[in-house]
Amino acid sequence: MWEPKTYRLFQLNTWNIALIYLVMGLLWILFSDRLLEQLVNNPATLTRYQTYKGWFYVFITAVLLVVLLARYTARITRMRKEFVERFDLYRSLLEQGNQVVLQVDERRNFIYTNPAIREILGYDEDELQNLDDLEAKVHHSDIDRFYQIRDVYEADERDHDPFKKQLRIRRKDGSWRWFQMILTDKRSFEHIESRLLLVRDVHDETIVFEQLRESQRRFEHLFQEAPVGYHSLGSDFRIIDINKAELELLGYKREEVVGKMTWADLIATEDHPTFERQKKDLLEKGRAENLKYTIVRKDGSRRTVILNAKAFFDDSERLLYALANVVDLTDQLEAEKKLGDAYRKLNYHVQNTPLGFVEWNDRLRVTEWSPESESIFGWSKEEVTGMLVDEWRFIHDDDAPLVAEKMTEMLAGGELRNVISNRNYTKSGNVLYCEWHNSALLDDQGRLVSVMSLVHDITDRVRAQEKIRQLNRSLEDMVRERTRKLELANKELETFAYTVSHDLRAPLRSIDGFSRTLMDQYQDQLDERGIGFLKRVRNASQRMGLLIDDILALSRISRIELNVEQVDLSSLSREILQSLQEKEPEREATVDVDENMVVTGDARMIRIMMQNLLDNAWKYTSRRDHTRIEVGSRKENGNTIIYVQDNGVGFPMKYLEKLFLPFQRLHAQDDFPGTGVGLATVQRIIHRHAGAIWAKSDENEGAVFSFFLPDKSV
Amino acid sequence: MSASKNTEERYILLVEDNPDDVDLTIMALDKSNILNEVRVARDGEEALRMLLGTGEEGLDRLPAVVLLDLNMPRVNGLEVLREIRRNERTRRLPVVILTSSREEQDIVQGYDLGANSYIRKPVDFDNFVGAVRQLGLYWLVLNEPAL
Repeated sequence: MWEPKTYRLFQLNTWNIALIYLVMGLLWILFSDRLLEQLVNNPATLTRYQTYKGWFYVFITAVLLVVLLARYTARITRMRKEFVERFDLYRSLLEQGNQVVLQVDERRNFIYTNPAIREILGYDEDELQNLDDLEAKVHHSDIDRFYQIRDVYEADERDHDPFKKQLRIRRKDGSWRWFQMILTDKRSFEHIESRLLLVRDVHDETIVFEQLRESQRRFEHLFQEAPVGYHSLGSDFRIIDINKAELELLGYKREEVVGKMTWADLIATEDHPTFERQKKDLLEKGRAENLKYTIVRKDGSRRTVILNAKAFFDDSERLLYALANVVDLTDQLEAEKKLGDAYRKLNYHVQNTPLGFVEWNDRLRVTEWSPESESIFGWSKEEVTGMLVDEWRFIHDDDAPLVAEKMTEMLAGGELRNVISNRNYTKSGNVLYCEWHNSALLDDQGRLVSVMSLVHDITDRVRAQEKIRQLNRSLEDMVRERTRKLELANKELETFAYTVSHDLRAPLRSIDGFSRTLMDQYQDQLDERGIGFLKRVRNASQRMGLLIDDILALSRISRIELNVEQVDLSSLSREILQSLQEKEPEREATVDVDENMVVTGDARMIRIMMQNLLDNAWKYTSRRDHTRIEVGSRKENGNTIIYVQDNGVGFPMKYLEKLFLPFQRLHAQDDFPGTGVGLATVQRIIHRHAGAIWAKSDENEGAVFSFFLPDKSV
Repeated sequence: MSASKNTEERYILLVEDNPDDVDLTIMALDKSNILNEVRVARDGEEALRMLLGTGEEGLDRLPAVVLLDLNMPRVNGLEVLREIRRNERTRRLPVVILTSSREEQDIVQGYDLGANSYIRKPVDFDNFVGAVRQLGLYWLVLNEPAL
């Protein structure tokens, strides 16, 4: 403020001058007459000189007065000029300044409004004449703050500090902006008590402040919720804040850590030197980077982390705090270790596989060529690395189109794996047959990374297969030739069988017929013995006839074709047994045939088979008082076993192996007549149906013949 | 015309190349008291000449039954049967196949070609006599031939 200094000087001078004038005047009055009386003795002269002295005093005083007044006037003029200049300055500040200045009187009216109101708020002074007008423009959310200003205004407090509030006011153009209102102390001016209300536009800085606060909130959120561990350290390296992720990592609660622990309390003892380094780095370089720590969790388990920290200093370079992030590497390290192991394993296999291994990059240039590939094809890895497949004489010319087609197909997004059999050249120009197992490796975006190929040299196999094919062909020829011969032999056999059946029987008939006639017509010329011989001749020829018939039947079993169907074995057995009983009605017999026995086979053959079995049973029980024959079935290992059991004479088990051989008889012809072909026929029928037959007997205790026929006979 | 005279006029045509069999058949007929005439053709060719031929060799009338052997030189029994059935005059003639064969194909073919019966000659002469007796009785006495 300019006011006090000049006024004070001016007042002091006024009293000084008056005092000096008074002192000087007294001194003049006291000493000037005395001096004059000493110098002048003549009273008339003295009176005249006293008059001159009086005029001299008046003159000196007048001069002094003029000088003083001139100085005073000059100073007043200067002061006035200065005042006017200052007034202009303040007025221009007031009118052109960046704030609205409202002078409010006690009745709330604005008695002065600076022109800046138009620019800042957009309103004319007529539109804002008092506090009520202003109130109408205040944002409803901020109106309480406005009332606080009004209350202070009305409380009439003199010694209040300038009262500040921020609130939003609607400008004339309709926009809301933040303004700061400052209410000054009450002042009296020209006898009117008033206050100044200053309105300053703080919109931009408020917004910036809000944004700052928002970003601070965001930072806080980020800090707390980040998936990475964060903690901040005070200047004494005590942990002053820590986020959730890190607490979870450490297994501690916030209150156990914050303000109580340092990082050293959370790490393994062997890492303390690292922490010392971290502190040193933070203090000297402002940051500590990529420090690996083993942390010890609350439960004692350990994890490996990596820590990065940054220090923040105040103006005088003193550490304020440091912020550290902590990343848990344990899983990553384990994964890396596994990956490394897997890679080493894979590499081992690739290098040692008995198949050749070739890797191609995304442009199908060779990147890997295993030792086995070299030994198959002859080229070394150095010779082929970086080559395209058609850049050296590798794929057989005839197979190149096939390989190109298959690989194009694979790269066009078809199957990611294929197997191509093609011929390759070796370095020395030989041709190999190879089987290529190719697979494409794609990245997450489905782009080709590389193609891996396993090569199997199948040349030997191919040659062997060719040889086998040749052998097969000659074998087929052989089989055809054999078949032809066999067919021929079969035909011959049939002719033979026919001849046997017809031509061999004819002479037998003659022998028998004429013997009989001889016995009838020449009975009187023959003695008993002669007739006996003739009887023997007839017996022999008849037996031979039976033999021939049986041999034919046996051979027919092998010759005729199977016509497989379902055969009702129960009714077939009953039918055969009934006809046997009818032939010998005098025999006492109990037959027992299970119900619902069905087998699969050739109906005629099954009939011949059952006829033979039941004939035998009937025949060998003929000496029993009471014949018992049972035909039954039972399940065994999923097969249906049919058995024919009798109470006949049976057979000794030691001859079991002869039982089914043709012409082998276990009983004398006189005891039980027969040709010895029946069971051979039975067995042959069973075998033709791919079945099996077996027998069991105790001599004189009967016999059991058991057999089974597969469901689907061939 | 009495039934007996009618019966006596009926004769048997035996087609058989084996002279033993011819004799045995005739002896069996004798033994069975069948006294009808038996005419014999020694092979298939002759049988056809007799049955289908005209003039000297041709038969004046048809037999009551033909006993036909199958396995004969030159023209076998089945061929004879085929010709008999093919010919208008003889197609309804009773033909009994009397043979040693029991081959299924012979039996089936025989019936297919229109044989009226199929008899297998048993080795046992007594059985043979029995068979021939029944044959004679049946075809010469019981059976009514088509004219």
